[in-house]
Amino acid sequence: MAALKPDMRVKLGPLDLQNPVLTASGTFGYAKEFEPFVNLNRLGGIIVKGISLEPRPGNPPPRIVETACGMLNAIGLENVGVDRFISEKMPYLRTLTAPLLVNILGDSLDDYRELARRLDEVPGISALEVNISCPNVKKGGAAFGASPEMAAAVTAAVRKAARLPVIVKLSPNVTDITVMAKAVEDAGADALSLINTLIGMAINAKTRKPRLANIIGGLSGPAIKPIALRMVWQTAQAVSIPVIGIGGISTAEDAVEFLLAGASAVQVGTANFYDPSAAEKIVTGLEAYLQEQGEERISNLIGALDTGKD
Amino acid sequence: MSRQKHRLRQQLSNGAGKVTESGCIRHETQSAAIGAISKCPRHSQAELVAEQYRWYYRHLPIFSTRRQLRLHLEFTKNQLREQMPQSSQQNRILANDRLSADVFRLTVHAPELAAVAAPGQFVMVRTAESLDPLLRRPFSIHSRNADGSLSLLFKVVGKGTALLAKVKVGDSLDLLGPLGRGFDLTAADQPVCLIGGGMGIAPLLFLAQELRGPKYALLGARNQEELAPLAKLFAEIGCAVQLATDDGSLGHHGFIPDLLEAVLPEVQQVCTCGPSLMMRSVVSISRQAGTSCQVSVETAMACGMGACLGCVMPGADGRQVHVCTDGPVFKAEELAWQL
Repeated sequence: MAALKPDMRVKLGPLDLQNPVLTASGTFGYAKEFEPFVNLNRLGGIIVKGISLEPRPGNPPPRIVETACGMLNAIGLENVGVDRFISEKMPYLRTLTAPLLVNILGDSLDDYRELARRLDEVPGISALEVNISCPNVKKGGAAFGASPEMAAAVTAAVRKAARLPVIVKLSPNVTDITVMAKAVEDAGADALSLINTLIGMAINAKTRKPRLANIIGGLSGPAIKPIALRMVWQTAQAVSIPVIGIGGISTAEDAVEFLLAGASAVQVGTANFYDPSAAEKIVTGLEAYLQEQGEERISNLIGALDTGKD
Repeated sequence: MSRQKHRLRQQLSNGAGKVTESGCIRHETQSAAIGAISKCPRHSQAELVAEQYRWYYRHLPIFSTRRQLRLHLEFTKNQLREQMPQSSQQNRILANDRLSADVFRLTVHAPELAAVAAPGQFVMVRTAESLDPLLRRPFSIHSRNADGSLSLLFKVVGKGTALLAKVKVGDSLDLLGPLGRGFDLTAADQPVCLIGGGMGIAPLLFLAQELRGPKYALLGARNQEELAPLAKLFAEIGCAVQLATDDGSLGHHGFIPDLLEAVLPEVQQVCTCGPSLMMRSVVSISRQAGTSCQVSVETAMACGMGACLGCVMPGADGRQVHVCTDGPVFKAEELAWQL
């Protein structure tokens, strides 16, 4: 007897997703790049490369370096800017049925406000993900992500400027991520996504030079998964809005671990680079996991970690 | 079928995909025909078209009627427009030959990929199933072989290539490709100078396989042991080969661009790949002589398909170019050179 297809739907605040697997911003281009490898409409959602008001050239090379079970990047938020994003990228993205979430970033509150206002009018966008945590740019980005007051101010500004659901992407490069999470929740965020990359560094011993032109960069990949899991677990207990888990997810089992830790959805990031069909494979793998476990609904996994304490 | 499809692809790319472009039976490739015939005042447009069809009939004898041919060309064009890179974990390794101390030639059965690959394009290779090394490694395609296999040339320089050196005949290789923009073959029937240093020699062999005009290969490497097995392959397909080694154990003792000036008057263009210092010198010499130059560049990249944005290089217009999608082959004037 064929097992019933499990219910993969999850809720992300006001947003309904057909499954909990999203693609992480900055690792999935503007989605079209992945068309040859992925049935994009099988994904729970697509988050495209972070968009700023003006186009950004990004950092000089070298921008990436591989590390043990991970990689460092200092791309510097290279992107086409909001105008070209709307005119050149949106027509294709609108043809997809998977929800589109747009990651936004700015140098000032006004930037974020303006971006939110502009994108709110664009049909075909399901939510905004506010990037306050990029470690690779001098101003903005990380500065907003390092102080609870600034993070709350950005969140409130975007919340006010847009009717779309607002997800705030948190930096792990803080003393206590739950403080940030609560500040952003109080400021009106609909959901949180974490973690962005951890600040790291690599040095070439032979040349005595840094391996990145930017000297430091963001560490991602399986190497950071244990830290990400811990932060998702702590944050999910500290806030009542949904949490999206990110950090080194490359298999369905990784995704299950994040759901158990309290994430309502996950984002697949670095894995897209070495396996462009990783996100779709994780969707398939999650269905198989549920059937194996005799679990009818994936939402039953959320926060179902058994610590044996209660 | 795949070779035929490839040939058509070549012709279509050379002729900018226009079926009504001219062709000529005197020439080996359609681009040669277009080049020669369009300059000839004795050919009228009707004659050009007639000769184009004669050319196709001669080269593609399976088409008995013009209608069949046209249908097939339309079909192929559409196929090519939709041609996308593919990802496959199941590519059987046919050979992993150690050419010298740390240089290997890996031959892998990948007929579908091989059929659509063009010289200068690259593949991303997963060197391990484990998470370390995590990222794929980019390799330009070294040669397309008659049996539908592809060869990659690599030197052991790190963790990934050390693992690749150990793969055995019969193992499977996880390949993603073909990726990137290859060499512009518009002048494939004109005399070309290929100039490669070290592992930069890799893409030039595939290019030499596709060139139809006279070809000169100036090849350089550390020593005789490394260079001799590679040089042989170029000589076998009809290149006029000149060599240079760092230690003087084979050919010219010194820098390979030293040999370029003597060859330049003989060629219409230069195609180069190798260490950046070498390429810079080649670009400088070609520019002074007014000879067009294509360069194949190498950078670290995570995805190879335009998503990670890790593989940038300074472009001539002050903006950065993406090596994986804008390149890896560029016209020299598209990049910023500190000459």
